[in-house]
Amino acid sequence: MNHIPEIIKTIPFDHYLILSAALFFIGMIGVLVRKNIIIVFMCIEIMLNAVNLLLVASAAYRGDAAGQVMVLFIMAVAAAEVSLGLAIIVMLYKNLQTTNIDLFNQLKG
Amino acid sequence: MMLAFVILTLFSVLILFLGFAKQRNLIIPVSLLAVILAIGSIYTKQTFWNHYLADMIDTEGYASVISLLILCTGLGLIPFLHLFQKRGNEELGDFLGIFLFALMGGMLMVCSQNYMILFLGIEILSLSMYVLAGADRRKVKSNEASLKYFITGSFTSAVFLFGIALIYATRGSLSYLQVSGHGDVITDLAFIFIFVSFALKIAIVPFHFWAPDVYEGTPTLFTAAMSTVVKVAAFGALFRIIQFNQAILPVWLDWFFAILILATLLLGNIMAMSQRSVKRLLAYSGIVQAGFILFGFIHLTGDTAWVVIYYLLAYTLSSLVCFIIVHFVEEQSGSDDIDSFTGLASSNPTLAILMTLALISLAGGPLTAGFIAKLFVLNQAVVYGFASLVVVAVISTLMSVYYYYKIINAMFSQSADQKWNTPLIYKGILLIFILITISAGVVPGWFTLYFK
Repeated sequence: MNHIPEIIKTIPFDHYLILSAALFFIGMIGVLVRKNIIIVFMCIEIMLNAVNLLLVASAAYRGDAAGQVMVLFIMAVAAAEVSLGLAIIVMLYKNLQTTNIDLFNQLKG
Repeated sequence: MMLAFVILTLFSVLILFLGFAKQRNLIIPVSLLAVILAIGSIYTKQTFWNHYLADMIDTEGYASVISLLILCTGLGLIPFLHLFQKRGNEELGDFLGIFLFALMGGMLMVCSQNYMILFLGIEILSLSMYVLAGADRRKVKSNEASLKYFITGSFTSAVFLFGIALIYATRGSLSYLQVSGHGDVITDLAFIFIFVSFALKIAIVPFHFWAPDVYEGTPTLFTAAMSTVVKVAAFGALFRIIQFNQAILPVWLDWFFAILILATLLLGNIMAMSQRSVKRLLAYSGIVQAGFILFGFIHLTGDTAWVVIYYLLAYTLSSLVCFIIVHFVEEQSGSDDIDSFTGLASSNPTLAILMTLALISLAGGPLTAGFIAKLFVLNQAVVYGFASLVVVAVISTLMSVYYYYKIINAMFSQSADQKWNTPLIYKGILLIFILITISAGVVPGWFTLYFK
């Protein structure tokens, strides 16, 4: 187990940075463009996982545990967030029978 | 003060159980007791907990003052939540437990000294608020507000986390205390992500699009919590980030804030003018007030933070009074349209007068806290060379008088047929808020002395 940081370090750090930035922006565009709420949630998860990847890579490069602990916190919070989000969708679906974001248009002005 | 977190957490769980055990009459007194104990524990010094959370939570100085503001907001709001139950919402225990969690999250945000704790605080506060936004679960509007808040909120968290990850990648530490060296391109980029996420959380133009919708759909008493607790906590956390990271902040930070302020003051006011719904109008008014608070962030140091805290106090008091009165009017007439305020002065004079005073304070009328608060923040801007922005601020204040006057005019112009009344205790609490507003406007020295 001790040599996992070494395996991570065989790839230059910039590559992790670029990959996670790319993932993050793919997720961001997904949140802004997609119409189905479930897909929007998945895109938010992609954004969070891009953050996790960057944190784990930097933690391995720095030999510092704080980044990895942060990743554990993010995963726990993301799980709570998704369960809450799905509860909100169920609540809306019971009232409206749809998950299309364009039909949630009662609030405007 | 660390005890305050423990007290709030334990009592929230207790209240969730009280709701479960159908002990509904105990819920409000127990929550009040929890908040009072937490306020008391701010003034106690324990060192026991510090050992476990070394360098992660700082409870000295401004952190304790802003925490006190958050807790007092909660204390003022909890008695009114009793009204929420009367409307046929049986789940009062759940909502009060979650509300205490929200207060705890807000305190955690302003006491944080580490991005990890800050992240946890933001999430505890936001997750609680998503639930409270959807508290009226049979109303589609409330569901929709909850969903919109949830999507923007979790998007905001992701943006914020990416900023943190970039800082960690370049600096190698999540703590505010180990900041050294100078800023570089990646750090600047990280701070853009962090500040944009805070602008989204506080609702500053151009990141304000969610606020009016969410404020309108949320049950009004929880809108009051959203517009006060969340904003105070977010401004407090932003203040701490800026205070501790002075060395590596981008050099263009003041200009970044100046552009946000300019956009917020102009667009917020223009949008507010055309609103018919009072809740939406107050949402835009909150956006404009947030723009004014940002004035205090120009060249922010530990010595000038009291300006921001004073403005937060003035804004919190008036905003709470306005939203609570909107709740009463909404209960009476079934809508929050500006027409339902017509004749309030003859049907319920006390509420009309209290609402008028709160609106005058929001507009910045003399002899109220709002006036002194605006004076302090604008003074800050003049001292640091943003005098032209102050001209915009004065014009924006004049514009805001138009839509505040629209409500006052509706209340006093016509007489209504029916009289209705509100229980004396609620009037008393609102009166206390207004008295604090006025005394903070007449003798600001009492308050600023404490904040300094």
